[in-house]
Amino acid sequence: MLAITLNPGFVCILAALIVLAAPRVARAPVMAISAVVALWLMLDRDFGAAAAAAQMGVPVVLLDLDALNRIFGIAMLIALIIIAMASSARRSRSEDAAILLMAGGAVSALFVGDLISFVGAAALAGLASAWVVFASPLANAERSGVRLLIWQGIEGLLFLVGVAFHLSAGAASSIFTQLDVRAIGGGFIFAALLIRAGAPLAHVWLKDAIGHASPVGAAALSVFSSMLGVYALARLFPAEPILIFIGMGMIVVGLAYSMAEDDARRVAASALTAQTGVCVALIGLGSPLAMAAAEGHAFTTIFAFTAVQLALGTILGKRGTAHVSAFEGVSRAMPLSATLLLIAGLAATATPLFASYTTIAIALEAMAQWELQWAWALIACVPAGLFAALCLRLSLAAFDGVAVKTPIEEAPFPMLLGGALAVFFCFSIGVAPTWLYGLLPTTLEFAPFAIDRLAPHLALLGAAGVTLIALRAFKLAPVERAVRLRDVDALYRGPLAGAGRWLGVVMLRIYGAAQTMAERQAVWAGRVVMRWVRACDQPYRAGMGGAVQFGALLALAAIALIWRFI
Amino acid sequence: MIKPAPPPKRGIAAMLLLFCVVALVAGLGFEFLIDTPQRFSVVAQPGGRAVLGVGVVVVLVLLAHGMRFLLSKRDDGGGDAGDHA
Repeated sequence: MLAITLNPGFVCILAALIVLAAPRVARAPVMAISAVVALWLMLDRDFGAAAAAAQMGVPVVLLDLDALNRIFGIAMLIALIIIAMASSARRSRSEDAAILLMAGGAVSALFVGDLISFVGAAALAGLASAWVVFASPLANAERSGVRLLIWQGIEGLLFLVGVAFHLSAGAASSIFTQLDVRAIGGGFIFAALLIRAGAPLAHVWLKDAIGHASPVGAAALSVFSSMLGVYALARLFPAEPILIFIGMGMIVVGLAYSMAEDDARRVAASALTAQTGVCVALIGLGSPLAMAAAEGHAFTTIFAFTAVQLALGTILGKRGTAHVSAFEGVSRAMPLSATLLLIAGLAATATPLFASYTTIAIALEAMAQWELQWAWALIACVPAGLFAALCLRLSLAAFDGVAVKTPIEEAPFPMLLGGALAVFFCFSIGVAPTWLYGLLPTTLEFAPFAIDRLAPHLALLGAAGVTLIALRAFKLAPVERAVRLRDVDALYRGPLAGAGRWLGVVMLRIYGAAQTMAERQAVWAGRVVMRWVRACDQPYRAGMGGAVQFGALLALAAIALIWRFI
Repeated sequence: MIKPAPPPKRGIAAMLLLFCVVALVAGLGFEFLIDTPQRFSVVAQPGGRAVLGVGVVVVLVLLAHGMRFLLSKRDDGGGDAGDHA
């Protein structure tokens, strides 16, 4: 049998080119088939690196399969199949190609075995994610795409500088292995990965991009952007203690914004930041159980947030807005979408019988083993906070005002099917998590439904839910109204953008003044030269002309003498 | 003739409340009934997780009020174009 050593991600990249030329009916099948072929390429191989080639003395390993990248690859490629289903609901050739290119870049980055190939594939995924935003039909998507492009540019620059410093230690250091954050090269790569994962201060790009992407594009961004950063942190910086604090910061920022934001897709993006923070903190802990929890939690988060974004996308697609303050009557007009949103919300907030519960239970166990009480408590806060902010808040708003008579205008069937399939995955893994545990790099015997784990979790969710409903009943919870919140981006979209504009105006004025001065100098110099030329033409005239002529002759004679003696 | 009851205005709130109350009661009940080993954290003691759930939601609600008060910006319908004006 012919041994195929093709990186599975390349299949999606090739399919992106095909999709650009394919008719509408063929695009979704091409996307799904490329994901299936990539899955086959991945699962048909044994673990280990394929043959390495050398380029300019640096080893290039295009395929290195192991348990860590396999679990991320399975999640991303199954999510691509779900997104392909949903994409058939609308007509957008460029977005289909952009999604495939982003998926291809991200999956290629998972499976490469050297730093240079990783940076190339990650940069491709980053550029394609900006293309996804540019392809969105929503207002101001272009501006958001430009902002995302700037973030990706900064990240790419950090990657390149980091890899350059790292390679200065020798070509062999290009191999994909654990790096030291204290080394200058490792530090730059670490900073780039924090941007990709959406660490605090860099978390804004994710919700900005998701808030402006199309319904399907937002689901794709949830899957293929920040999760690649989680994978790379797990690969390159496991057991890096600072990641625990960064992950905790992501949890706090994510939870706070998910309760306060009005745009439901930004709420979901903030919730994704909180769940990603759990993964990042576990990677920072670095024990085998914590790493298994991080990888498993990333896996389940991918499906849960695909379902949430597709459910919100159905509402956005039909009503033109997905703001919580405008959710009234959604359940009347779109009963299936509202139900899907409720179930997807339960799946994303680690409710028992859904996949993320089975992995958050491992995460708590991993934290408990090291007796990091504050970190354990903060991770335990995530399901409660998201259950209130994402699941209950959105569902209560969507099911509000059911008495209003509204004709049923349900979302397109493929969107609902995609969301339902993602929820089904969450449910099936949540009911029978053993096969997920079997995929993890660490052999794991874990009973998430043991009563001493299940009962406290139920009490946590129940108490959070009762508290939120009581606060709403007593009108103590924030009223749902159209509100836009400033974030860190207010700094660079406000004062920094203003400073940039001011600097631009000043520079233009300086340039204009310099240009005018140069023009005046040129005119003056021209007049002087013309006067001298005229004087040369009239040697009989008395005055300065004769002196200038005499001086010029003397200068020529001096030059000739100097030339002669040299 | 009996006038039909008006359709409910708060469709799912009662169901969600019921779900949460059942989860809380069942969770607390099992937590106190079963004989669990000594836990390392105060929050991990029986009933601690329920207290944590209440605390998290209260803190998040307070944070949301504070953030909306301090960080909200005028929405003039122009999207984020205003941010660059």
